[in-house]
Amino acid sequence: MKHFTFLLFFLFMARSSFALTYEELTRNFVTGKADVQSMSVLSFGPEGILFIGDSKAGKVFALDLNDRVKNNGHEPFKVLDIESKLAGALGVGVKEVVIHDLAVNPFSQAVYLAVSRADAMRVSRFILPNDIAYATILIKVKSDGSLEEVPLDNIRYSVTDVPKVIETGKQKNFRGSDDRTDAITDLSYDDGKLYVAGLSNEAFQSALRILNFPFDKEAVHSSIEVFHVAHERWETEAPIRTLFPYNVNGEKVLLASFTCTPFVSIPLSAIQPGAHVKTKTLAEFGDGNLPIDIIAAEIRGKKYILMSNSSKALIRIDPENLAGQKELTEPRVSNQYTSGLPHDVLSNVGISQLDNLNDHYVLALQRQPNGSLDLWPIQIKWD
Amino acid sequence: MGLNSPNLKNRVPICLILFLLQMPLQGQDIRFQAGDSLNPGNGFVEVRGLRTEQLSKWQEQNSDWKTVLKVFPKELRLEKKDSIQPMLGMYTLEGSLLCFRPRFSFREGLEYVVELAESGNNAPLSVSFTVPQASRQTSVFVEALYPDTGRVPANLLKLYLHFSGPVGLGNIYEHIHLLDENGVEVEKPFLELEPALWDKQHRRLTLWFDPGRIKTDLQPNLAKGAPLLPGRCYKLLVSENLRDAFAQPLAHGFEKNFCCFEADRSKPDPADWQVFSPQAQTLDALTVRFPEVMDKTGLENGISVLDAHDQPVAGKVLIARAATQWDFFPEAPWEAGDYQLLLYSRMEDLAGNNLIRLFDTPLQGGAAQMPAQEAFVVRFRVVHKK
Repeated sequence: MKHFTFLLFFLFMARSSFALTYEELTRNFVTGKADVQSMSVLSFGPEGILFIGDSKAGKVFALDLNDRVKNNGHEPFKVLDIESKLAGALGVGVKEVVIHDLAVNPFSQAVYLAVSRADAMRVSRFILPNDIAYATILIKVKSDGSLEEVPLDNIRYSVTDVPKVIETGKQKNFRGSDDRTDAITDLSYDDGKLYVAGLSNEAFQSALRILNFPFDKEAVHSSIEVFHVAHERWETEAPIRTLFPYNVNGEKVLLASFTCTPFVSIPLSAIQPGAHVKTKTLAEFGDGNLPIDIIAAEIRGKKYILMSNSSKALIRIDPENLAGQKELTEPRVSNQYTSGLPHDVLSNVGISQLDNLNDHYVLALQRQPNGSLDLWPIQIKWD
Repeated sequence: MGLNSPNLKNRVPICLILFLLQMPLQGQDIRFQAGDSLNPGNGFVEVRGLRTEQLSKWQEQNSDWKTVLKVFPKELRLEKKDSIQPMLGMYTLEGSLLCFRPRFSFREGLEYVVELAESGNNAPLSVSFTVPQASRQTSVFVEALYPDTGRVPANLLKLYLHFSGPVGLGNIYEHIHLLDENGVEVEKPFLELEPALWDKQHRRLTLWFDPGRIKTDLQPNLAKGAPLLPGRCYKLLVSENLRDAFAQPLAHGFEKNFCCFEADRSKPDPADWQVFSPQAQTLDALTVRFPEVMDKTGLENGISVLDAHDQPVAGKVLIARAATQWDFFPEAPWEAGDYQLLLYSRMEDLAGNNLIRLFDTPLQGGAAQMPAQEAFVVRFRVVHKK
C-alpha cells in the first residue's frame, strides 16, 4: 500500500511536470472570430496550437488549427516559386505578395505562412516585411503545393495582452517604420511558458516577457541590455529579433540574436518581474545584417544550432562551444567582422525563414540564384 | 451602377464564335462587375446562361466550382501557365447564374483572365477584363526642389525633394534620374543610402551627391570623376512611378533644369553678410542677406536671435530669395535695444562648406584638429523710427 501511494504520488508528479493534454491546453479556448490585426510572428506550441504575435494589437493569440493528424514521416516538402502561387491565390502581381513568417506544425508537418498583399520591392536587407505592411492572411500550404486560407472568423482560440507594449506613433526605427511594428519581434513556447521579445513603452525599450500558457493574468516583464561589439557599447533600445530556449549543460537559457548581429544567452532564472537583464554576448556575427530565425537541428547525428539572416548565408553553431565561450565585453578591433563563438557559414544563400520540418529535413524559405522564392527542404539525415 | 461590359477586345471573338457556331456557347456570358467608383476592385465575376446539361453534369460529378471557374491575374497566367493557383474566393450558384467573389479584392488597373471549363477535351472558354482605376481626389506630387536656383556650384552636395504627401520607404533611387544636356544619364550621382534620408513625415527626401566623388583624390573621385561638371547643364527627373505611402504612383512626374558654375571652394564668411535691423515697436522682419545661395534646410535652424538679457526671441523664420535671404518675424514687437545674432557654424553653402570648414579638405591629424567654435556672434541694435 505504501508502495502504491508512492507510485500514485510519483505518477501525479510525473503527470504535472509533463506536457498538458490537448483538452487541458485548450480548455479556456472560445469559438468565434479571432480578431488578429497583424500576424507579426508565428510559432507553434504543442498539439498543433499556433501562436501569433500581433504587434499592432499588442496581443498574442493561440489558435487551435484543428490540424492534429500526427505525421511521423520524414519526407521532404518542396514548393517552387511560392510567390507566383501566392500572387495567383491573392489575385495580384508576383511582386505584390510578401511572406512575413513561416511556421511548421510539428504535429502534422503542415506549413503555414503569414502573408500580406504589399509591395515586395520595398523589402531589403534592412527593411523587413513587418516594416512595410501588417500581415493579415494566414495561408496553409497543402501537401500538393496548393494554398488555402485559414479563416479566422470562426475558430477556437485564446488571446492575451502583452504587457507594456510600445505605443503607436511614438517614434520611428532606423528602418523608417513605426516602432510599434517591433512590439513583438519573436515568440517561442517551452514547457508551459511563452517567451515574447519586442519593444516596450519603458525607458529601456528592449523587452522580454514570459506569459503562461494556457493564458492567465500573470505576465513577467523584463528589460534587456546587450553588449554590441561592432557598435562598441551596451544597448537597451534594440529589440531581440529571434530567440529560442535551449539547454546548456543542464541549464535552460534563451539563445537570442539582435540586429547587426550579437548572439547572446539569457539564463531563464534572470527573467524576473521588473528585472533589468544584461545578456551575455557570446558572439557577433557581423554588422549590416538582421537575424531572422534560430532553430536547433540534429544534422548527421550531431546537434547544431542554425540561424538564418537577412543578408548573410545560413550560420551553423556547434552547441558544445556555448558553455565555454567567454562573454564579449570589449569593442571590436578595426575591420573585425565577426567575433566570439566559432561558427560555420553554410553553402546556403538566400534563406530568410527557417523551421524544423521533421527529423530528416529542415524547411527553408529560400531565394534561389534564379530569383525564384522556394519552400526548400534542407536534408539533415539520411536513412 | 449598371453592369460593366467586359473588355471589348475579348468580347468580339466570343460574339464571332456565337455567330458562327450558334449552338455550344449560346447564351453563355462571362462578365466582370466592378465595385463602386471608389473601390472598383471590390467586384465579382458572373457567368450567365450556363447550359442545363452542363450544370447537371457538374452537379452529378460533384465538381468543385474551383475546377469549373478559375480567375487568374492574366500576366501571371500567361507567364507561369499551370504552376500558378487560381484566386481564392467564394462561389455561388443561383439557377443558371454562377458567381465568383474573390477573397481578396481585385487590383485596380490589373488585367485578369476568367476560364470556364468546357466539356470533353475542349479548351476552356476564356475572357479577360481590366479592373478600372478608382477615382481619387488627390495624389502625391513633387512640390519643390531645393536649391531652387537654376545655377549651382559643380560641387553641389545636397538636393531636397519636397513631396505634397508621404512617400513610400524603399525603391526610391530607381525612380530618380539625372541627365546631362545631351540626355545621357549620369551614372549613380547620388549616395544610395538605405533607408533613404527622409524627414519624420516622409515628405522631404535628402539626396546627397556621392561625397566620395566630390572630394578630390578619393578613390571614387579618381575612378569615376565628380558627378557634376562646371559649365555643363543637367536635368533632374523624378518618375511618376515612384510610389507614395499608399503604393500609388505620383500624380505626375517632376523635372528641373540647372547649370553648374565652378566648384565653390570657399567658406561662407559672416563678414560678407548684410544684417538689416528692424525698427522698434514694429513686427518687421530682421533680415540677413548672403552673397551666395545657402543650404536651405541648414539655414532654417542656423541662426537664433537673443535679446539684451541673452534670452531667445520667439518668432518665425522664412527663407527668401532662393535661400540668399533669412527673414525673422518676431512674435512680439521689437523693443529698442541691443540684440545678438548667433550664427551657428554648422550652416552650409550649397557645396557643404560650413562657416569654419571646407567640405573638401584633407583632415590632417584626424577630427581632433577641427575647430570647436559653435557660433559666431553678430550684434545689432533696434532703434525707434527717426
